[in-house]
Amino acid sequence: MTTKVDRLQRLTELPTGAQAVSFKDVGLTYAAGSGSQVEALRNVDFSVADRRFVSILGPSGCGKSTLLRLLAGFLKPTKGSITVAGSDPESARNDGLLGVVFQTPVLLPWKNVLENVAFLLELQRVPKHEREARAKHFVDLVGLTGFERHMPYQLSGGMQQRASIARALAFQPTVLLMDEPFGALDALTRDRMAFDLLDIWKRDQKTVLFVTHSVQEAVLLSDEVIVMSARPGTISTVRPVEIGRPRTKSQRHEREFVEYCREILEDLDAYPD
Amino acid sequence: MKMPRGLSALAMPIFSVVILLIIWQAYVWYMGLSPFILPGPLRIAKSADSFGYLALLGNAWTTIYEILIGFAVGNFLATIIAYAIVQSPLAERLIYPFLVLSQTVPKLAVAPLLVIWFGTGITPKIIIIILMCFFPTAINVVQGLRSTDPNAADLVRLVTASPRAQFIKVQFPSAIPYFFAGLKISVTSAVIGAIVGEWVGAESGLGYLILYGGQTMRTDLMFVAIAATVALGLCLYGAVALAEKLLSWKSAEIEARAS
Repeated sequence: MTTKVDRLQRLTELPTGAQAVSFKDVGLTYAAGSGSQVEALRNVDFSVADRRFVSILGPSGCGKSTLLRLLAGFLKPTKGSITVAGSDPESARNDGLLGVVFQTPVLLPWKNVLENVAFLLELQRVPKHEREARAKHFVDLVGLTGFERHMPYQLSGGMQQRASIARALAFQPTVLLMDEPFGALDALTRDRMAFDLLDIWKRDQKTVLFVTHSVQEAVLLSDEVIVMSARPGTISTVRPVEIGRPRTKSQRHEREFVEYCREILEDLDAYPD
Repeated sequence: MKMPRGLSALAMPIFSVVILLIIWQAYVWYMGLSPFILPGPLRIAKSADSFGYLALLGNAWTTIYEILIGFAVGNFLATIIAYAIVQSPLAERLIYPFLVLSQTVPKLAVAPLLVIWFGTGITPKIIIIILMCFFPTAINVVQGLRSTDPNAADLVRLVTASPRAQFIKVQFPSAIPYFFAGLKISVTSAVIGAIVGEWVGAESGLGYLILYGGQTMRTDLMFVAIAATVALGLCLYGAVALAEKLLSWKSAEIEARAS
């Protein structure tokens, strides 16, 4: 078995622009009882270069979250193959190369913020002082300095989600999967969190796959937007977003940004569900 | 008036109990009731004194002893049963009917049977206490072990596939507040179980004392034993609440359900 370090080295040895994630003609069909079958995904074929921020956008039920579950190795495709950081999803997961941020924060209510951020390291049996030092770094990175000893219920929804992002980052994954991480937040918090995420990503640049319902959010954050259509879930377009970084609030009102949003909305409308 | 928080929280219930005792005593005096019908609190205190605190304590000890054993065994069984139910659907289908059955069987009706089988010693009392007190714990622990967020399970799977890690790091701690919620109901049931067990046949104990007081027309003695039982129940409940405070984390959901 290769260790995480080996794999990381292999990854850093890869030429820049190497593929962190690739789907080759992936299909997923499952039995839905009484002999009928549901085709959840068909012909999903795309790749994500290392250290790129890619959003996946599409109507409800198009298989966005299923795609992430396949990537994390929680589900197996019935057709095609998936590669994550040079290996299959399950061994990538076992080597600790995958980080996940869920729609809900999934913080353990009996642990304080610091312990929650260090939780995955605790499972890896990293010694307490070491894991807490690492967790502290990421608590600071997501702007929760001073809240280390707070319990989850003492935090607002946005702060809880920050803690959950810090937990994913403290695990130091190669690929970060985010499944509608701001979906449960109010509009104002959601907006601020998007910019904070940009800021965090700038300092700790990972390959990110970001599932969202929001066109604006996708354009703002991404290097590339993958638009999916439903029944069966498949990729309809892949659109690179060539807006310079760092991205700012005012950019959102510029012609270029609005144009990207319009095009993606049209992509979505071209495949009504 | 300013008081420390814990003190003022305690002062209110004590105040209301004192008021109740005063009204009770005043009612007995005003109506000129015979102590045989309803003794006042003062008369009860005097009876306790003349009965002898040591004798009272001796009877209380019998009951405490039964409760401690029955409560420990009952909750130990409850936890194991709950774990089995959650781990295996087969175990759930096999055990659940008996769980419900054990609750629908009237304990007061079963008690004489147990005396026929096990005599008037401590065994039938312990069995009744177990029957009374394992159910609330078992049901709560099952719910607690099932209360874990499925996403939290995925989170653990990011690091390890071991079901042991799942259990130790997520499932078990999630169930702790539920365990204590069950334990609080269980401990009061255990007291009732002990009294019911002693009513059917016993040589000592608070339940025996209540029965003895009734048979010898000593209403005041009945009240002494009832007061001692209430005090015992409060102490045991307090002990569980204290253990909860020391060992458990607070679950907002359970707090909401309890209130």
